[in-house]
Amino acid sequence: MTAASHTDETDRALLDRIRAGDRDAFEVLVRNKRQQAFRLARRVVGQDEDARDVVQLAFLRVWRKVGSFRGGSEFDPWFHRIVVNLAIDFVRRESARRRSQTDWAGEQARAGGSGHRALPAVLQLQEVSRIFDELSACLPPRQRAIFVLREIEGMSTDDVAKVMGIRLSTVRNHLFQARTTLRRALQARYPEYVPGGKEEKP
Amino acid sequence: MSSACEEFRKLYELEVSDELTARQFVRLDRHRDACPACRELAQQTEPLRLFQVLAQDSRDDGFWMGTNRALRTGISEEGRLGPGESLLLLRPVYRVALAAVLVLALGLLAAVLSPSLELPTPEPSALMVMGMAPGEVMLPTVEFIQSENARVYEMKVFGEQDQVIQVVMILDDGIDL
Repeated sequence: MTAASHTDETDRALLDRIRAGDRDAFEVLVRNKRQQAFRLARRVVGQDEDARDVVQLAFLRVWRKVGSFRGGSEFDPWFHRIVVNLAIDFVRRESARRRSQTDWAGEQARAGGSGHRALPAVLQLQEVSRIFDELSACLPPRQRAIFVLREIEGMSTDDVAKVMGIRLSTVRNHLFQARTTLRRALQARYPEYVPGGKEEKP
Repeated sequence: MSSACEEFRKLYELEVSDELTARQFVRLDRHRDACPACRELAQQTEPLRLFQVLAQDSRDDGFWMGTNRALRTGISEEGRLGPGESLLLLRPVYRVALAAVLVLALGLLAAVLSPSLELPTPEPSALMVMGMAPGEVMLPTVEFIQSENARVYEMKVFGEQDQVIQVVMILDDGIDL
């Protein structure tokens, strides 16, 4: 059976196949989940290449641990927890090393996609990504991960607590701290992006 | 509008002006989770909504090139990686660097463990000529140095009274005399 024929299968069906050692099913799962996993990892580790490494390792861990995954549970929170924990571990290990900002223009050029047609959106994304990387660098990795899950990925506080394996009150505390820090930093450094602040950027 | 929504709006004004306490934030966040209308209202004036555009961030297939291969390799090596597995080892450049380090380490190990250069044992007759007794410890001299890289030059110097002095010159940059 080809990998393409698996695309409509549910996570659970894919996981059953993966448990049986089906590598095609595993590749389908990777394709289905890699973008969101990348976004999570990218916002926590701050670098494209590092995020891709984290995603690769997360999928390898899924392959190894799929036997211990309870069939009745949802796959996404379990998988997101793996990704976030690996990303946080990575940031802690690398914290001594100051890394440069991602060269988004270079990424787009290397990707060779239809960057010209989507130029305004790409530019906006680049700019926002740069600002987020800059401002969130002062957040502890766990706090950053919670903010990303809640405010960027749009998860409920309950789901964030499940992914992080912590209590709701802890999630809210971290979220409160992260929001306060980011809001102040945004107001101080980029008031043009704050409603009611200076003039909007074109 | 429910009283919970009214309270939310008051709390939200405090949050925007950065006057919210952590306890008030808990109430605010609970209601934001539960009430779509208030969530939408907050998003309209929320400065941090700026970052929501990052949810559209994705990479095309070119970016993922090699990922499946790396994963297949990782799966094939399943069971061989221990708990000390390294993220960096997944990158080809780090694998090459690791291989280079291993080669260097093996080279150094081989150099340390290899037997030292043995000096030839002079024949007893030669010892007699040199004025030494068999068994006497002889310090290595240039005559006994062997090296594939050494260049040996010989020349004869004719002195007064028909004296002939033979000079042997050994040039080897890499040897410590």
